[in-house]
Amino acid sequence: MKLHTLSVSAIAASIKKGEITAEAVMTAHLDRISKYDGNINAFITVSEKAIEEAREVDSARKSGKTLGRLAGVPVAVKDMLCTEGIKTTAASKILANFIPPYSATVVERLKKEGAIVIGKANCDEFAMGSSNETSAFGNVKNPWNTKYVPGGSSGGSAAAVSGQMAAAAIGTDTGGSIRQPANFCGIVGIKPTYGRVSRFGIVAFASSLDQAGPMAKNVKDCALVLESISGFDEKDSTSAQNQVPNWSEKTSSNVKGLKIGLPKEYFSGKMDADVKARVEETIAKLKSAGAIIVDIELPSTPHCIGVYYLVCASEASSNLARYDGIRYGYRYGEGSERLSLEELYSETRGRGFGSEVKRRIMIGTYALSSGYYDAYYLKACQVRRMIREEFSEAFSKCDVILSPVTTSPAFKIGERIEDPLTMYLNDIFTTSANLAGVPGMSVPVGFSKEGLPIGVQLMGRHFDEQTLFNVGQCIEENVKTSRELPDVIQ
Amino acid sequence: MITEAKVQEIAKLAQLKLTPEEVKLFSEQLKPVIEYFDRLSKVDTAKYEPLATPTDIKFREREDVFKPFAQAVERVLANAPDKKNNLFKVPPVV
Repeated sequence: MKLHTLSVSAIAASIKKGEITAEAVMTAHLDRISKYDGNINAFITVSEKAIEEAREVDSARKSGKTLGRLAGVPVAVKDMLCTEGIKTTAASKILANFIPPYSATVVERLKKEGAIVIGKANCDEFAMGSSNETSAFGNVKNPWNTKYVPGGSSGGSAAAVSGQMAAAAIGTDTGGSIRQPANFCGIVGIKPTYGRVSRFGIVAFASSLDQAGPMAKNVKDCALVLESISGFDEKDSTSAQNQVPNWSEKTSSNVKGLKIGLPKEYFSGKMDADVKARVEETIAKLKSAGAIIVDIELPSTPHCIGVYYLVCASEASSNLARYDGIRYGYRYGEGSERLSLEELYSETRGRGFGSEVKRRIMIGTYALSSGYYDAYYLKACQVRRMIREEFSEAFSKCDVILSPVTTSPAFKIGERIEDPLTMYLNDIFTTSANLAGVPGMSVPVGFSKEGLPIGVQLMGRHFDEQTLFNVGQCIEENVKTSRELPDVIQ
Repeated sequence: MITEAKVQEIAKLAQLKLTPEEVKLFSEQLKPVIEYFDRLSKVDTAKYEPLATPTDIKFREREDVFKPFAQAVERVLANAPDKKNNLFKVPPVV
């Protein structure tokens, strides 16, 4: 049996029954990392404690202890989440040697259910990017074809799962950073409703948009991981008190009578022919499974990218002010006594941050500065409310919104990195879910002629992840994606 | 309008030391981005209050009390780029 091909639920169930050991599962995944990650670069740090922690799961089982829902499951955690005692870099030089004194709530909850952090996944620096090319630790390659990007910003998380170096991964999604790389790498990824998952201990990028969520091989695995990490946390001031359903047990592929909305604005622009074909095939399958297809409108769609980049850059410029070289992280200059405090700050920040991070801090500082605040930041927040109201209106006509995740499959490494605006426009279909706070999921539906994965995006009402899992499950059962995850990576 | 002078002014506000090459590059790259944002000025938002948090979450307040944190000084100082005794070391400020 190839242990690296197993799903999260199969690993946890087989370990519980004693059919396989957590140590064997961990070894299989670590072997994949040794074999392929030199090329793929999905991990910034591989945990030295992973094997030992797997053995602890095995001895807990032997001594008759109750095992958690994710017992022995190797999970790659994006390097934006603090892990006590394991380096957490946000893929930035400014945090290159930072070892957190505590773990994020998400990590604590994973561990409570028996999951094991196999390593810290590479990503765009401070999660700012759509291609995983802005990481200070080198770009990540797409396991389906190493000439292509894995997407971003959770590119390492996506590549770790699709390269079968981890059974599941945790990503963060501020404007599509879970859904877009899941789409480019042929896996499932969900950004939950804003407030569903605690942000405590996650490196803050844009606090009103950031949400962590799972990325895995199938819908059920995502449901299982999400129900393990969700729920109220007093350490996060915007954590929601809503009850967490047992999604993994309640998920049903029955979509009879379910109204699926197609926003006309998402289907009217330029779109890759293969993406268009796969999305249309999926709609037809859902229709024959009994779903009702309805046309809806989200008229402010053309404004989403502008609003998103203004809001995220403004919040980032404020959140990233803490990196000043004083208490932790990189500090410029051995002989820093010669510098004034202001020089120390600006030299440290100028040298510690990469280009994309500096660009966004600049955009945010500009948008918040005196004389521009009303025209940019405040205006963006007003249009943001308009966008949220349009989503509420749309959800009075349908139960779920279906769209492409991106206009094209993965693009080539280096193709868009020199042109920030083109890169930003890549997020056209994904940023709206973050602005409106609604859950969004990416589910694989097939491939392009070049053999690159294509998925669809599902968006639901606030706190209605269940409908996304149901429709995702129906797609998984009815739309044949015809290819297994890459077993040999070339 | 984004000029090299404007880029330098923003960089100063953001406490970012930029190289002359970066000033030139950012002024070229940010110009189309800001122009793209300017399209928003045409949207009629008179009826809309600004929205900061997307879900209807009640903000909670908590008592400002500390909780035990074992070996706090060692753990907090462990990441300090420069320290002396039990303190962060910084350049003279007065």
